[in-house]
Amino acid sequence: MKKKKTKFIVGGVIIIIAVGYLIFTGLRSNIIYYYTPTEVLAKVEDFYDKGIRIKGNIEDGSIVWNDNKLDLSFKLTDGKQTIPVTYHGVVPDTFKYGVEVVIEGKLAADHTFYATKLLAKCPSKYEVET
Amino acid sequence: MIELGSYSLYLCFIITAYAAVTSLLGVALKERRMMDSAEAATYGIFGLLTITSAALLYAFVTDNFEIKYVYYYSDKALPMFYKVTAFWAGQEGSILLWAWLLALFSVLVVIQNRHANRELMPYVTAVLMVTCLFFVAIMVFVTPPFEALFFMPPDGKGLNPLLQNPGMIWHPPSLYLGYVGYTIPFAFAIAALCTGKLDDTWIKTTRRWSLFSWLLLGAGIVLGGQWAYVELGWGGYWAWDPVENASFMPWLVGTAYMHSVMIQEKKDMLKVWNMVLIVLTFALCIFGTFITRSGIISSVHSFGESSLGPIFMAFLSLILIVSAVLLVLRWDMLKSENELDSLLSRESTFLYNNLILVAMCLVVFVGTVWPFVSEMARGDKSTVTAVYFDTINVPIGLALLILVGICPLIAWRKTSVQNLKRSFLLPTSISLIGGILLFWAGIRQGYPLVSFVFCIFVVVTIFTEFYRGTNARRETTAENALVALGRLISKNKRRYGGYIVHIGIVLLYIGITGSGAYKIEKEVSVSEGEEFHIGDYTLKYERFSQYPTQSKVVNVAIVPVFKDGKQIDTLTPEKNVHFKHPDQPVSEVSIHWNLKEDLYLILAGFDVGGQASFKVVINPLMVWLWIGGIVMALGCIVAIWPDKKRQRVA
Repeated sequence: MKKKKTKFIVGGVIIIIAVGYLIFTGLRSNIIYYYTPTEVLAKVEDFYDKGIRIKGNIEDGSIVWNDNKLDLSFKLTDGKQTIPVTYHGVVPDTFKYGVEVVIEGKLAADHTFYATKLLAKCPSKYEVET
Repeated sequence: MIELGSYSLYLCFIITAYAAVTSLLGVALKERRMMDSAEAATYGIFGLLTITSAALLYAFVTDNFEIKYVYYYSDKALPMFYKVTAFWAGQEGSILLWAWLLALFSVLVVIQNRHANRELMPYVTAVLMVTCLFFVAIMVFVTPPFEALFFMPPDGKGLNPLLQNPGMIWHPPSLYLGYVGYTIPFAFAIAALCTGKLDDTWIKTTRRWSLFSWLLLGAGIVLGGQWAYVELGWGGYWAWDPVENASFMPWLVGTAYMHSVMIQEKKDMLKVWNMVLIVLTFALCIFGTFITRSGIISSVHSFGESSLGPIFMAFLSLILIVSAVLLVLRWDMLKSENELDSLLSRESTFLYNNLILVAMCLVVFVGTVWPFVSEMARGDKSTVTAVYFDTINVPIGLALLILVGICPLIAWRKTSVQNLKRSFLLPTSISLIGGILLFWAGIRQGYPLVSFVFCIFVVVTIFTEFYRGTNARRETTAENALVALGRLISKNKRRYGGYIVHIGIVLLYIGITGSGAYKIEKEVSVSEGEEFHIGDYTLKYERFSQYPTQSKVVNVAIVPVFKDGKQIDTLTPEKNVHFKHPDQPVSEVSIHWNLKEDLYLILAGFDVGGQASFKVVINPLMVWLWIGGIVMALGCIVAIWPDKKRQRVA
């Protein structure tokens, strides 16, 4: 009787270790770290021309579209500091004022951020900001 | 209306508090009259919450913008359909919906069990009333739905255009029905722990409630995917967003529970495990409501600021601590004399299924809360990408799929190698032949090939089950094949309903595999009259049209689709600007679908009379995902369907 139990315990432990390993390696290679506008502007020289990600909210009234709705510029803010951003490409529907986005790209010498990717958060919250 | 709504809510709070306290006191003092009084109070609570909900609904329908909630989620031009559904567009209304459903279910449980489970019922009532009190208290103290502005605005701010989709009437209520429904088996589990009546009475009594909750939660998830697919316009249906994960996790654990209770009923084992599963399911339902309603998971700061965060956390901790303490106190009684006989028995396949489902849930949970935990612990800011969830869940999901096929092939208790060989022969050979054909046809990537081969394996084993059962009936009853099949299912609804659900799962996997592994997407920028190609399709951007409606400006591209030189359809993707939300253009995707694939077209950008940009996607086998969802729902309904001669289980 005891032997049977051991068999199941061993099996269970193996599964737990396997899943733990999968989670660990999965997390290690798929976490995106990002900075806030304040952190970036505090040390511009460190970030200049390096590929980085910034997360912030789109400042109210700052979105400027060109006619074909593929080129746009906007301002990204964390409430304290603001970075102007330009972007070219398809923009998700959820992209609007106040929304939180993670953008990937490079900071240029004029302190403008040239975004190559908009990792807009999915609309986890279809709510009004009150 | 504001007065009626808020007074009935206050009154409801008093009665719910009364019901919670008397039911707890009743069981503590063993005072029958107090227990009965608490049960009777559920009717009052349901009545009052119905009045409260009706008042809020009336406020929406009559454009009473003096109420803040109505002001923020509706406006005059909103079609009546969306005015009604705006009820649950925000936090206040969602919580009211939760509470109302819980009150409704409580009344149903009280009626169902008026002559049954008299020992369990006082505790069940206590759990239900404490939960109800939690939600009513939130509405009274934290997010009052009837909070008034001090003036009457001429018009409301309008409903978020993304929520103006027919999915709005089905998706959220379906999820909530599932979340709330799981309160019932949880309440009976706690009652069983308290009374020490730890046989399978509580499981049998709530079997239909758990199936019902599982069905509605699953349907809600699939409907949410469908909504995202047609409304959010990025070409996919699932993005491992925290809100999606929040509904997926209780469903996974609920699925594990649904399987493992069968082992308790059959072999009187896994008692502790079943308790753990139902407690986890319910806790994850509360967690899900909490993530959806507060959106806090993305940042520690919004958690601190959100008034709801700490309250939900406190309630969650209460659930977990009370359940854990009860489990420990009853540990000796929950021990089972029986043991699993062999690693190769049907029982063990149930166990593996459970481990896999819980592991999947753990993977999703870690990925969902990681940014939150890591910011709390180390102060760095991060997000976990969808790649994490995909890379881990795909192999785990495939293991789960093959188990679905293996399970019916293995006998209960113990299987001899001889038996195994015989029963595996047919499905293995057919799926191997299928695999070779698929490889020959060009399916050569590892995971998709494995997935399709497993799908064939499962289908063969399930059809064999149906075939054997039908044949056995025909031999003894001389019925024709169809009658025999029908009677076979109706005599064993639970078993064959389950098999039908499994067929649905296979279809779901086919859809996920096809659209996941063989998706083609392309972004193009073309002028009027210009053509572009994707797959076998030729699309022509014929013209652009712009016209205003009552609530928005419609921008639509007319795009005929050709295949083999013949026009087969005309797609009309739109990008509309709602007057109330000019900064948020809303895409209406246009889809040409058949059983083989979806051609999915998004109007990404445009110049009036000039260029337009499109994103065009081919999602192979996409429609099978939705069909799979429907088949699963049907199978589950078969399993829930009452037998003709109603035995009084409840």
